[in-house]
Amino acid sequence: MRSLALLLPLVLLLASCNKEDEMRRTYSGLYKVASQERHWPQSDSTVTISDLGTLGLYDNASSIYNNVVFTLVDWPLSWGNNRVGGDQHDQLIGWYSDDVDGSTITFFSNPEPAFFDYVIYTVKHEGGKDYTWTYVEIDAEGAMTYREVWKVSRE
Amino acid sequence: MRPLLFLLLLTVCVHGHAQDRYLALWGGGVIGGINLPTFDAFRGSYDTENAGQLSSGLSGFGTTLGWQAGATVMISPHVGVSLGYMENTATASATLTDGSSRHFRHKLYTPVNGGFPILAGPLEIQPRLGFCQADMSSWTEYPDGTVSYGNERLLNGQYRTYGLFAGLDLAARIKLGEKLHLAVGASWCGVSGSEYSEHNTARGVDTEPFYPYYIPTDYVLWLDLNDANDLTSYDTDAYVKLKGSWYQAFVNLIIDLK
Repeated sequence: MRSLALLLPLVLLLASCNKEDEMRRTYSGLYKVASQERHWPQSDSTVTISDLGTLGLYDNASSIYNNVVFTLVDWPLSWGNNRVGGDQHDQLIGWYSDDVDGSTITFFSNPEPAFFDYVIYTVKHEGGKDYTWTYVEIDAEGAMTYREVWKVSRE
Repeated sequence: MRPLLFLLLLTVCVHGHAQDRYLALWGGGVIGGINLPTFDAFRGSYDTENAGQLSSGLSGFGTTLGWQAGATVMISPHVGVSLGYMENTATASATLTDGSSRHFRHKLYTPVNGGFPILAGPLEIQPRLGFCQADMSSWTEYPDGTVSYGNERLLNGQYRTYGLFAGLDLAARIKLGEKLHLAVGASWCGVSGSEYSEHNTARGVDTEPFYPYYIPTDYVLWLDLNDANDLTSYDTDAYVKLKGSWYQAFVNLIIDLK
């Protein structure tokens, strides 16, 4: 029974700390951004941009500071609206996933200490290497004013 | 986590043979409920805050569904030591008049779940204790079906906490074969843990707008103080915690490896 007593604290420790690393490894890699649908429900208008390029989510073995490298041909409106990358699109952009079940990816820039410009996408696994990332904006009454849906595939 | 559990069970198995004691493997489904008074307090204040916009208020967590599995080393004909894993999931939701809905999903895991089964004929009583983790996923579903965990609405996000639990299982064993049993029973566990916290780093440090890093039990007051830029006067203990109990019925298939 002594071996069991020794194993219990070990399991306790490992169980509480490795989910974050697991989610980072799950999502890191290169993604082809097949399309980005920009939808304004209140005016019922939609713009779809195809083949935006490649997005690289690099694993820097950090809890949050994992860098993003991209060749997107059009700056994402969701990034612009939240100043991710800065007004001149010249700031470094990082990413991280939540450490619960990977249902979110956050992109951020960190223009000054303890301040983040960020945007959170809801992740849906569409099967195989395909995912959709969805971003939503609302008005003061809570009605959706803008939705951006990225269709991405892991390369 | 699963490889770790497997290694742990393997260790128990080897240990059992070395001592010439027998090992039993067990597993099955669970169904029950969870009682979190601080979440109930939050529900009341959420409904108050959104009174004019709700077509149905935030429900309590409904039926929990899950499974459990583990191994028991019988160290005498009537007393054993068990290690197992259990998880259960429950959901709560509210519907707004604009057609959107707010959802909470509570998932509880017990990565370290020990017990001391005592057999008395076909009856089994098992004091149980361990360490657990609970995740509270919170999202909004819009009228067009769009699901968002994003920061456009307060409380959207992924909250997590940990706790310690202790409880009791009572079961009756039905013999199905020489080494095969079915255990049908019920269990109750009390749990005490900390506040559910949102680990989204950017959201946690951003101050404009300020999003709840924890789920306030008095949502109305929290919003008022937030509007007044006076959140420092909010009671630091008034957040939803993993503190309460869960109860469930279970059916386990037991295989004795004698």
